Amino acid sequence: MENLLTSAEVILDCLSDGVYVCDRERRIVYWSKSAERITGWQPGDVLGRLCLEDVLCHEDKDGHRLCGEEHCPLHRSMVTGATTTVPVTVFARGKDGRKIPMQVTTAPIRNESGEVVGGVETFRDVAPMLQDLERAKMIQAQTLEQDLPADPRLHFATFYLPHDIVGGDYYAVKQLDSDRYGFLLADMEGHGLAAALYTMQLGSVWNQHFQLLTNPARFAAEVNKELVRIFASVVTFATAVCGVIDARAGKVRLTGAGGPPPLIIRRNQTMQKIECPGPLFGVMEDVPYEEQIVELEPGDSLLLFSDGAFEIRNAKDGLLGVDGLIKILTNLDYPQKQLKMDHLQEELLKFSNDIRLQDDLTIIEVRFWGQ
Amino acid sequence: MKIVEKRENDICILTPIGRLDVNTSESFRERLLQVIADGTKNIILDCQSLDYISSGGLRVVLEGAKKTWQLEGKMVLCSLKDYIKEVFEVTQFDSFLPIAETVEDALKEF
Repeated sequence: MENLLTSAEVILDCLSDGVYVCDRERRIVYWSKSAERITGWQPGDVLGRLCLEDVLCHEDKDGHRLCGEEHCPLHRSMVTGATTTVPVTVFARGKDGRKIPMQVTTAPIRNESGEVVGGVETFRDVAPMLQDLERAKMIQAQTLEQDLPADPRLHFATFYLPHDIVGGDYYAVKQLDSDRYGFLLADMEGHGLAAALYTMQLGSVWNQHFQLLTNPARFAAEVNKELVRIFASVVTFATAVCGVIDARAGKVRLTGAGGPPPLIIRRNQTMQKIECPGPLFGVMEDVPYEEQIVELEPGDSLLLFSDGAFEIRNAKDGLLGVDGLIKILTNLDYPQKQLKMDHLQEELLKFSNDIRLQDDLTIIEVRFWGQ
Repeated sequence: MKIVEKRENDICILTPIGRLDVNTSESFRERLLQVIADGTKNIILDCQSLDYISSGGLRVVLEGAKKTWQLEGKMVLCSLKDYIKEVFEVTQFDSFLPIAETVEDALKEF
């Protein structure tokens, strides 16, 4: 047994996960046999080179390059001194040029006095699992991507960025009659595959009942009833905000089910939270839903968002919150400038000092131009 | 997560300390369900030392509450800090289970 444990490298080489070690400057000092098997890169190709050089080319699921400072998982671990608690899915480039999806965990390496002297990254090839997830993503996208209504009095836009390949947010917008449009933004508790499956069920509920949105509180009561039935003995819930906008009357009626307060952005750029509390969807039947009515002036906008846009923590344990989101939107010159998801995501990541958002992020934007 | 447990007759008073989030929800869930499995059907969740609750944390609270209902008992929440109070207000948690100001008030719910 003692002989078996004499060399850590021998043990590391036996693992099926790839392992590599970098020093403080991120120079690769160890590259395991499995790392070679998964990527095709041999120790001679990578040892002594910086991991951020043009070797591994890590990208996130949305195609953003991660190698560098802020977004590199290994660099993050060395700077924050924290080990990843949840593996991150990244895409690396193999020696033959193909993109390899892998789940990565990173940890800092400390010397005896506790100083960070390097970092270790382990990675697992998740190509087979990912093929399935990519199909699931496509199926989910077909449910979410509906044509947005076209009306010269209004402009609708939606933004959707799942935390994983598939997500637990659901959104929909639909014309109800010549003047009114119904909308729903819901967030299934949790994220990933299980939450994504529930969004598919919610999609069916939406298709069946969206016409009820002429009365949002009634629609909410019906969705709640359906979700109680769907969840059955599983304890989970959805938070949501739904409503109807009347383009002729310039009025929005909103009903909440534990979802974040929508923002009304007035023409003079003041942003106002519309609190619309309401019982979570899917917990208990026959709970009451109420509605809030907001008058819109031409030039006003309405923003609905999932909690992924503001329930963001940074390493100092600070919470962004809705007020923090309002500050970010103001700094992005919204609403004078169009809302760009890339810019918003960048600002949110700057706050969290993280390489990816902590939850699914969905936004529905309605701009009201009037007659 | 540290959880202080006290008894008042057949009522178990659980005081979770810190944050109920993705890292702590599972250990809190195990403890809560264990208390119920050991035969307690009346629970007060004293939130005086709870700084944060995620939606996963809310799910665990609901799961515990539902288990107590199945046993014809109940769960009462009390002593919510401002942030937690806000979360429970937005989600109208009081439509599902009673929320009291203090442990003493919570005890009166049984």
